[in-house]
Amino acid sequence: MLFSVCCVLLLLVVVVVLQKKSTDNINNKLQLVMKSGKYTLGYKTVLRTLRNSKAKLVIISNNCPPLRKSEIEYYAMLAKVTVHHFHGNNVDLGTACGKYFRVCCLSIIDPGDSDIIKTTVMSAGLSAASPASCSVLWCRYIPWQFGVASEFGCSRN
Amino acid sequence: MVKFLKPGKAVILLQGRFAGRKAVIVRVFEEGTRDRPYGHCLVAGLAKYPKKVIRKDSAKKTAKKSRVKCFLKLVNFTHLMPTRYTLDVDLKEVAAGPDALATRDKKVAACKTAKERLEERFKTGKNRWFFTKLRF
Repeated sequence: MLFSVCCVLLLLVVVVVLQKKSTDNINNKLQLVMKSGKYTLGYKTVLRTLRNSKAKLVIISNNCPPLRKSEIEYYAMLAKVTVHHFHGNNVDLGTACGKYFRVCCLSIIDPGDSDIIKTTVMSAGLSAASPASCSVLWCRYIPWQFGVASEFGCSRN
Repeated sequence: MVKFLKPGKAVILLQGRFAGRKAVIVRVFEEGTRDRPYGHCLVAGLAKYPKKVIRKDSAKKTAKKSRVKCFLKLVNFTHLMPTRYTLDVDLKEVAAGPDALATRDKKVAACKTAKERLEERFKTGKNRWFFTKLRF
């Protein structure tokens, strides 16, 4: 019981540390993608790339309208593409892309020299967006034999 | 990175006369055609949903309530909302050739077969989500 609590605390510390580092990292990686990779900016093209399965990663700003955000997340769930929630609004995301306009959502088609896809998939695995997937992913990291996962009713859904 | 607009996928139409209706993708034209140079698909959907059948209903009433009116339409991908549901109804002969919707008679005939398939699927009680009206 005590060991499982320690496990959870350790996990939380790891998540916090990773998130701290990744806020400035994501900007650098995005810069590299803009330089060397393929991407599209804007809601319509993001949906288009999700539909024809060209998108590898989708980034959404934090002031994206909630209906649009959940629509993009749903499409990404169907296409099995990670969604990264950018820590900044559309102005900041536009600046991060090196553009002089606002960017609410963008889709990365080809990361080029950047390893943004790998790192976001990793951190998305630890702190997932939606609560449903969060609980499933969380269950994976808790050792099953301690019976903690079963307490929280983790199941394949 | 997974293609999800595949035959059998349940979708909801967003635009047009049938906006808000549920449909199933029958055939996908990824790259488009000469007439429609955009990604589109042939969908078979429910113009009129079957009514709610209760235990009290007589056989005649059940038959009447389980009737379905079907539509076939070529729809742009942007006018569809894909869902996580699928409907594996065998609508292959509906989407037989590229000219399944060419003439009016062919369209009507195809609609009739689609209607039969959807009705028999409704009567089995499976895919209940598909046959309930979307409330909005």
